[in-house]
Order: sequence, then structure tokens, then C-alpha cells
Amino acid sequence: MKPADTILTASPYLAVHGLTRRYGAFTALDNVSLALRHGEFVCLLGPSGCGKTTLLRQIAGLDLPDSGRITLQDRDITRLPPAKRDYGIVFQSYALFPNLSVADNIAYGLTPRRERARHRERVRELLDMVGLPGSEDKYPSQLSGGQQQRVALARALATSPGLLLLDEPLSALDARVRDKLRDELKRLQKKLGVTTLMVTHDQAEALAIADRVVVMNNGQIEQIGTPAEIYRRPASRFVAEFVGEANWLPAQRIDAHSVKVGAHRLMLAGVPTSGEACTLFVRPEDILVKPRWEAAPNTLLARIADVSFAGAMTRLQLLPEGIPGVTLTAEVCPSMLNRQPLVPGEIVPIELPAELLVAYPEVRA
Amino acid sequence: MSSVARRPLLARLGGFGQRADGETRVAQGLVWLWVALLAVLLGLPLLAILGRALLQADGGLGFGHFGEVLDSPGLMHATLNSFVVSLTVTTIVLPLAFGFAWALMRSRVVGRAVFRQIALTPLLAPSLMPAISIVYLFGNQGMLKSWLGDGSIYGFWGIVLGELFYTFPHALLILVTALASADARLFEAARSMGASAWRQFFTITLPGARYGLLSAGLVVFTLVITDFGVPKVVGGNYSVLAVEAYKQVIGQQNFERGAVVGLMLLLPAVLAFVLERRSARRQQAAITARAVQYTPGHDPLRDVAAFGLLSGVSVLLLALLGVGIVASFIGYWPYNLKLTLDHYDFSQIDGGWAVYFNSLELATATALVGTPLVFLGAYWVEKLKVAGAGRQVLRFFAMLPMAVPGLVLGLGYVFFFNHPDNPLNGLYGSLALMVVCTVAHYYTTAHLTAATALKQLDNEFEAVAASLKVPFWVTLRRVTLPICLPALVDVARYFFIAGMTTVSALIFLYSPDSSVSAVAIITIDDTGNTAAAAAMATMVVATSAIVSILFSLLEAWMMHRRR
Repeated sequence: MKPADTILTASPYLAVHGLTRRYGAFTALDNVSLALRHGEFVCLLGPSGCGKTTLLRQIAGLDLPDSGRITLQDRDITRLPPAKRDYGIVFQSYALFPNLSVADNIAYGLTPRRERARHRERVRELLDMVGLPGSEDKYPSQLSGGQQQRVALARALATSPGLLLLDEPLSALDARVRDKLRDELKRLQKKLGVTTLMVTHDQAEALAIADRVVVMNNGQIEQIGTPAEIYRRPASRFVAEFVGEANWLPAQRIDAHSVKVGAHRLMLAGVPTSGEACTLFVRPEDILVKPRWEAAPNTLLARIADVSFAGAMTRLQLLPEGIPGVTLTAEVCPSMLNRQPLVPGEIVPIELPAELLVAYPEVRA
Repeated sequence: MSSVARRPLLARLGGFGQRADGETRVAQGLVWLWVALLAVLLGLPLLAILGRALLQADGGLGFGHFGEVLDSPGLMHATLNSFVVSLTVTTIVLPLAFGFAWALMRSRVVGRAVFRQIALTPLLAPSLMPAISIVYLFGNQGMLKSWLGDGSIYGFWGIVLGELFYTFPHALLILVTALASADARLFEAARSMGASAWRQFFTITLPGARYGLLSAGLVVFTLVITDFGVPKVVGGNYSVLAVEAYKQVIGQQNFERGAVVGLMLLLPAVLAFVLERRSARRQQAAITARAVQYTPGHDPLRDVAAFGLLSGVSVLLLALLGVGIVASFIGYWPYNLKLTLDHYDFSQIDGGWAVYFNSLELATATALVGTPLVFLGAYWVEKLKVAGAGRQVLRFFAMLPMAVPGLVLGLGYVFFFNHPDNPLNGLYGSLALMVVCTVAHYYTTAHLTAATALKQLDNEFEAVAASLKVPFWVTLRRVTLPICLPALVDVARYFFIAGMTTVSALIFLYSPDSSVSAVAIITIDDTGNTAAAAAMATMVVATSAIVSILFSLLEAWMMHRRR
């Protein structure tokens, strides 16, 4: 990521300090802290009920925290009503006013109301920007879901707010429209440089669009990082499983750079010091299937239990020899594989690359 | 600013702990203003009844007046009579209305919409209309008097017949809704297992409608036990509680006993209300989103039976409505059968035509005052996120009138507004107070209509508007109000018809100058001029019908314009 860390040391655009929100016995937000740099696109990612929408609503002023603080450009906005903050918002439902035309919807927040000509100009500019030129006089019911989403975005950006909040804005759309709008949204955000916070439960979406991803679970933040950090070096088992598929191997610590897995000794970058037992994590696409056997570190033999076609990739179920009771899922790219097609029952050499293995202390199941 | 901010109590009363700006303060002010308005309209009059019932002659509080009522054989007799009549009507009207609803929803009889409209016409008439028709049919000079042999219609059976007409549409509306939510998959499953039509009816149809039946039964029972019009006209010597309350207060000026009787009438209504709410909550869970709409199949035998039932009940209802209307055009029953408009002269009665115009004024004012009051109140409750406690109270007040019979509310108004120390005392006997009372009496249904419409709107409208720094009143005017116009028309129509037909609360509130048609029907009938009473009732029915049609056209036009 280019935005250098020097910016991070400057004061953040939006900051959340120790925010807690309880609903009766249920803690929706548990001492959450977070900072957004100016112009950054951040995604709140997590399963439903993890607190991501609650956090967004706190920042929007639609709900108030039990404790904690929210600052926008060093201004405390924790208890300000929504109108006294400075943000535009797009909801999953879009909440377009059905009785108003597209132009009136977009101009809804423009003041003063009597400057019609200026507003018309601004509406045209915004419609061009979101790719719907000439739609001023249509009504929301005449638009497709994707078009409604663009109008809602234009309305949220009309007053040039410093902060854009997006509450699952793409999840009501079908898959192809969603991917297209996702790219457009990112492009637009970069062009305008508006600091953006988006809530989503779709990990692919979050990884594709965000500068940084905030993974939440049970009202707490599990990890904050760039998409690559989140995917490659998940801070916890929860993150590893939520943002993609993962293989898990029970292991015993030998020294600072090696562990014992079944009958094998595997090398890796670092081993947690606490405790004897740990768990190894490896992504399916990181498992390498070798063309022929060579004695090398982290290389072992495995029997192919199943082969299934999955488009660009082929998925393998592997039973590694010497590690009883473990099935590894591997994804290989057939065109990259310099050999005959793989068939079930075959025994192949595989490598678990040392630099891609991560060990976690054995605390959670 | 400490990182752990506590919410001060005052902020919590404001509901949100938000640092109040102008907009928030306006919103809080409006919520509490509505709470104050409804407290005067509803809360204080009802408390006044309680006060009157408990206040002893020596100035202390006690249950002395309750003892007096228990000791008076007349009142206890009336209580028993009221129960017997209400139970009888409920047991007759439930199967009839259920059969009618079933025939409407589960048969393929042609003209079901027409039958439905006929069955709902009693809603347009004051409860006195059927009573007058009954007098013409079975009274001492009645054309079918011979059917009764030596018996008289005045008394138990007269009341039962009149109440059947009056309560039928109320039961029907509930049961039609209950039967509308049939899941076709259940019937298909039953048929595939070889269940007979009867078995299907008893194992699927009837259990599916049991909450509706309970609810309809409670509504009918409450309507009958608190109704005043029918027993007043055809009750004869058969005394019932509602008429006794009226006699105690208006006839004997015994306010304390009237208050006790009023509380006795409140009891079954409140009980019914609580039971009904509870069952309504459970019923929602019974309907799943994946249900498939049931459409009746081909079955001539069933359709013939359904047609017989529909036309039979319709003829009876039309007779009870029509006889009174026809009689109002007849010279002097049964001696002079010439058609005439003489009875529409109204010169013989106190106030003359002014009474009718008072009614029009009352109905119009009720619609004009009630509609904005109810709609804005519902908006504050549903959409404003401030003053949580205030909105809770407002919601309670909005549901309260459903549990309060008109007669009881009227008594409360007498006690509260007629009290010499009340600064609003001057309103007593005015049309304005009658308008306010009618609005309060019919508040719940109107509120539910408005609240349902508001709930269908996206909850995020207000949030989006706030993010755009647009205050809520602009969104209310530019978005919410225009979208809810059809519902508003519905509410206005409901209030207008209520204003035209209501009797029970107003009977305590009118003065000679402010008498209205529905009340005048009773006083005219008391003087023995049944034909004039019939003419007045006909005016009420005709006005309600015409206005109702006009409002429907307006609503249809709005829906059409909205595409």
C-alpha cells in the first residue's frame, strides 16, 4: 500500500476510542478502537451479529454508545445528532424517496432550496459521475437495483461530505452487477478522495475494495490490516477461517523454527513460544504439488483422495502419509502443473512452503 | 470529556442522551405536547370516573358506592341481563359471520364482492337504525306482528335482533381476515392423504381461524354489553347495564352510581382487549412467509350452499336497514300508506334540520381535527427517535380507547369537563367538546391505520434525511405525508362516519343547541314519533354512504396517480 505510514502518525480523520454498546445482556460492541486516515477506504467485515453495523450506526449518530468516544477531525462527535456530523450514507435498501424524481432525491440535501439552477447543475455533475447521465426526471421505481444504488450514492455525495458510510450497499444486487459496481465504487472513491467506511459480510468484496479491512467478531475487533495482511497472516484462527479457506494441522513445537507434525519435521518462519502444542495454518492454494519426488525440507508424500473440477483451479483432497487423520485441501492450477492429469488413488509429492506456514498457539478449538 | 460518559436522567427522559440541538428539542416538545393532549382527551376523564366512583360523601375514598350498587337489586338484575344478552348475541352472530366469511373466501359464488358490501352496510348506520326497523316489523303495529303470537318484540329478543345487525359487520371483518391467510399446501397435503371435505374443515380451516373467532367473539361481546342505542329503543322493560348507567346519570343525577356502573362496563372491555392483544401476537407466528394462497376449486354443491347462506343473511341485513328507510317515506303506518316526505320536515322536533347540520358539522370537524392529530401522533411514535418515555406513553394512550366503551368515555367527559373547578368547564355542552370526545373514542383504529402505513415506509428515510442535514419536518412534508395520503383519506373517512353515527358517548354531552342526528333519533323516538326517527336515521345512513363512496373514489384516484 502506498499511503505511507507517515500519514498514520498524523492525527486520524475519524477515530473511535473504546466504544461499548450493550443491549440488555448482549454486548454488541466491546471496547472497540479504530482510526481512519484521510481518504482511506476501510471495510468492516464480519459475520452477522458481530457488531459491524452497530459500529457504523454509532458513527452515523443513529444510536449512542454506553461508553467511549468518537472523533471526526479531532472534533468530539460522540453525542452530536446526525445532522451535526459530516457524512453521507448509503443503506442496503437505498432508502430513495419513492415520490421524488431522481433529481429531487439527489438535490434533497442541497441548500438553500431556492437556488434551483445551481442544484440542477450539481445534480447533472453527480449523475455523470455515477454513470447515469440524463436520468433526472425518472422515478426510483423506474430504475433497476444497480441504478437505484448509483442514485443513492449520488445523493450521499451531493453535499460533498468528508466521510462516506456504506451499509452493505452491494448485497441487494445480483452477482454480476455487484462486481461491476464494486470496481466503480472503488474508482470513484479514489477519484474523490472521500474517507469511506463500508460494512460488509462478504469477504471477497472487502478484500477487493478496501485499503484496510477491519475483521470483527462478537463485538470485538479481531484484526485490522491491508487485505494482503489479513489474508496471508491472519491474526487469529477466526480471521483465517472467515477470509478464505484454510487447512489446519496439529503440531508439536521443536524449536523456534521447526515443529513436528505426525512423523514429519516441518520448517517455518516462526513458532509461538507459549506451550508445546500449536496449530499450523496453510491456504489450499499454497500447497505445491511437485512433478517428481526430491528429498527437500517440508516435502512429503500424499495420496489423492478426490479430485474435483472448479473452473480455473482443480481442488484436491489429500491424505498426507505419516499424518494420520488429517485431510488437506489443495487448489492447483492444471495449466501450471507440468505433468499428467491427477487421478484419485495416485501418490504425489507435495511441499508445504516454510515461508507460507503460520503457527498459532493451541488455545481455541 | 471522560471516556466513560454516563447518561444523565434528564437526557434519558429525552430518550436518546443526544446533545440536544434545535431539531431534537422541537421533536421532544412535540412528543410531550401530544402526550399532554391525549392526557386531557383520555387519561384525565377516565381518572375522573375512578375518582367519582371512589369518592365518598364525607370526602374520603372508599368502596361505599360499589356496595350501594351491589345492594340495589335493580342494577344487579341489569348486570345479569346484560351478560345474558351479550352471550346470546355472541353465540348467534359468530357462526353466522363465520359461515358468511367462509362463503366469501372459500367458495366461487358469483358476486361475492357485492355480498361483502351488503354485509358491511350496517357500519354506515347508527345502532338505532335496526331498532327502528324492528319496531316497524314486529312492534305493536308491526307488519309481521302476527308471527310473534301473543309475544312482544320489546325486550330480550328485540335487543338480540338489533344487536345482530349492529355487530355482524364487525365480526365479519375479523373473520374474513382470519380466513384470508389460508395455506393451500395444507389442503393439498390433506387431500393427498384422503381427508374428506368435512375433515379438512375441522382439522385445517377451523383451527386456522380460531384466533379470529376468539377475537371476533370478544369484540361482539364488548360491543353488545356497552351498546346503548338498541336496548333504549326496543328494550322495553328489559333493563340492561348501559341504559341503567344513562338513567343514573341523566335521569337521577346520581353521578357516583353512574361512575360505578361505568367501571363495571369497562371491566369486560379491558379484559377482552387484553385477551385479544395476546392472541393477536400469537397468531402472527402461525402464518409463514412461504404459504401458498388458497384458491377454492370446482364444487357446485358447496357453492349452492354458500350462495344460500350469503343471500339469506344479506336479505335479513337489508331488511333491517331497508324497512326503516322505506317506513320514513310512509304517511302513517299502518293506517295511511301513501308515500310522503312529510317526516323529513323535522319541524315537530327540537332543533329541526339544524340537528342534521350539527351532525354534518360534527362529522366534518371530527375528520378535520382527528386526521392530523392521529397521523402526526402516529408519526411521532413510529419515526421520531427522541423522548422514548414520551413515545411509550403516547403508544399506550393510542391503544387505550379500544378498551374504553363510548358510554364510559362519555361519563368520564361529564365528570371531568362538567366539574366546576375545571377551567375547560365552558366547553361542556358545546359541539367542540363532542368533536374532541368522538376523536378520542375512535382514536385506536385510526391510529393503527396510520401506523400501519408509516411502518411500510423505509425506516432509513429519516436517517438519510438527517445525514443530509434536512430536519424531520421537511421530510415529513416532502416525503412521508405525500406517500401516506391514501391512508390519510382512509382515516378521514373513518372519522367522518364515526362522527355521523356515534351515539353512546355523545348522549351525555349534547345540549339543546348542539344535539346531533344520531342522538336526536333517540329523543325523537322517545316522543313516539317513530317515523321522524326513521327519517333522521335514513339521513345519517345516506350521508355516510355518499361520503364513503366519495372518499373511496378519491383514494382510488390517488392510487391511480401514484401508478
